[in-house]
Amino acid sequence: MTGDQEVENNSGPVLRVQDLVVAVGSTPAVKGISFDIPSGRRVGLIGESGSGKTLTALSIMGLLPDGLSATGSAIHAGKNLLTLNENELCEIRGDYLTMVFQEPMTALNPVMRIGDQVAEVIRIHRDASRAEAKDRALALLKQVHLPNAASRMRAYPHQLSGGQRQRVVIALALAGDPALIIADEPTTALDVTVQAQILVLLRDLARQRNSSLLLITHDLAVVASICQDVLVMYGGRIIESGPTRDVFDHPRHPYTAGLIAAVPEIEAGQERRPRLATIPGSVPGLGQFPSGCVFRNRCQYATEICGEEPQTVANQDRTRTVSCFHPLHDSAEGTIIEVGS
Amino acid sequence: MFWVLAVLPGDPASRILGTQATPENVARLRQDLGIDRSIPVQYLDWVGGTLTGDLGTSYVTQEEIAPLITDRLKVTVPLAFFGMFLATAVAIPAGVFAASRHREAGDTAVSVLSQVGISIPAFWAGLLLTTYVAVKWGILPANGFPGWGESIPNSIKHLILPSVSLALVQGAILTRYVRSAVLQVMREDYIRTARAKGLTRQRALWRHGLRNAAIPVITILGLQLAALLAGTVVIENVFVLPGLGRMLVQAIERRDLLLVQSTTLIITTAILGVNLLVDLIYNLVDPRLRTR
Repeated sequence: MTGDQEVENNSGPVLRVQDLVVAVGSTPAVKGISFDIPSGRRVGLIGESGSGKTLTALSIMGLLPDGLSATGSAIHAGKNLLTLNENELCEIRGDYLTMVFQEPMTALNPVMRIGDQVAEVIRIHRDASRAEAKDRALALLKQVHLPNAASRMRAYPHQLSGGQRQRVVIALALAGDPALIIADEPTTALDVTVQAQILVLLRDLARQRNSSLLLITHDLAVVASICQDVLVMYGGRIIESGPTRDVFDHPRHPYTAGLIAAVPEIEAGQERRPRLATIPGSVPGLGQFPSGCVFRNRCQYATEICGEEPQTVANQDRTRTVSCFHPLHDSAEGTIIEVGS
Repeated sequence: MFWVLAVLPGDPASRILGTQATPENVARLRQDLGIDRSIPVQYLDWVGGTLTGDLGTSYVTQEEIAPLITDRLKVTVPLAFFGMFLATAVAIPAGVFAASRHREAGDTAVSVLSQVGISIPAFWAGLLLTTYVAVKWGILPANGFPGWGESIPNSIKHLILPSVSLALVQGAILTRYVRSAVLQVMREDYIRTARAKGLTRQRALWRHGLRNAAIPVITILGLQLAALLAGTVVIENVFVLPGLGRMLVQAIERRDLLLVQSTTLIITTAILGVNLLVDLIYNLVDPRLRTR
């Protein structure tokens, strides 16, 4: 992958999440996850619905819905985002830490003009006059390739297509000086033909600005084409992580292997395809995951020991971790770096 | 409306002349009033008159109806608008405040107060206000209406207590609608987007929430205003105001059918007017309704 050799400064990760727990009432939905997002890297967070991906993103942004609480830490620029108050968060949010949402149809204010919505971010974070903010907003809308950007400044969201609206949402996320852009399933609600355009746009813009990207998706192909690193989430835990190509070629967690096997491959010259592989069972509801390894009730390798809490094991150069008692492609170089809570 | 009144039992002529009237006298009066004619003929006559601005004369008092109604409107319309103005002025800040303090003490306080406001019948609120503000403390006049021609400040004074009584109930109901509209809007995705842009919860509410919350609230405002234009009867009776509602009740009692008919027509027109106004305001607030 060509992107792997992009600027690697040693300023440390742009975001370091440790022991993040998100609880819905008293039931934990995210059960103590830890990961780093290195500066300038694009990291994919994959998993099925209900695995806790969105809650992870919202807790980093400080945008959890009422009734949900996050503990642990999410360190950005020396500050724990989870303990900042609303005013402190608002200085960071929208400027250094931005988010692209899943639903472009509802993410924009229906009664406010597009141009004003983009200009607003600039006015919040920069000391810009109304006219300067407008100019900057127009430049941003051009950068995200919104067709007829100048005249669309005065349009309302309902006058735009889904893909165009998502471009506007991306413009919002780029209006500041984002160190990290979190994109939560940014293309799920869009037509297939538009999806690729939006993803490439997001990747290119993040690359140009040397912003890190945390891309949340359930689509492995998206991660494979956009992200350098991948985090695999299941049942509120990160069960495997590492460089995308490495993880996809040699998955070590049975769940990751199952996910990859479930992707239908379309290859030319093949008359008949084998049946689609599936992971048996379905994702349990909140609070209904088994104790110990969260995947053990669906795992073909599960044994008695899986009833205990699996440890997170890293390889020698610490690029890959897996949390499993029976990892696939087992090698002797696994060293224990951390015990899952 | 015309047909309902026409088939209603109770003959205006015998009502006017009383029980001692001879059948000949009744017949003559019926002829004078024009109610001996067939119903379709009466209807066409009435429609023709109405379209030219002539609402006819009252069966009972022989007065011209059009100026009679105009005079009454001069009391009812200011009363309804003033009442709604007070209700809105209290309800919008109270509702927004409650919503922004959702599940906190302030929210509970507003909810309890609005529940009390809804539970109090308007006439009782009127009586209480009269007793204390007017009779015991003597700050404002208790009832009656001098007429705009007499003295404008004095007329306004006479409308304050009735307006407050109306505003109390309407404001309490409106507060609840405002609160739930704002709560609804605060859960929308675009509020989350606004906060992700770096707006605090409060500023997101002000800049993005209120205009969206206004859409359902305007509907309720329109309904309430229409209801007040049609139904300030009780309050007009409590405060002895010469309003449209009071006249309507009296006209019904006296079988003054033509007056009932015309008053109803005016009220209906007013309600349609309010609805039209609401639609126009929708268009201003919500760009999605504007056709391109």
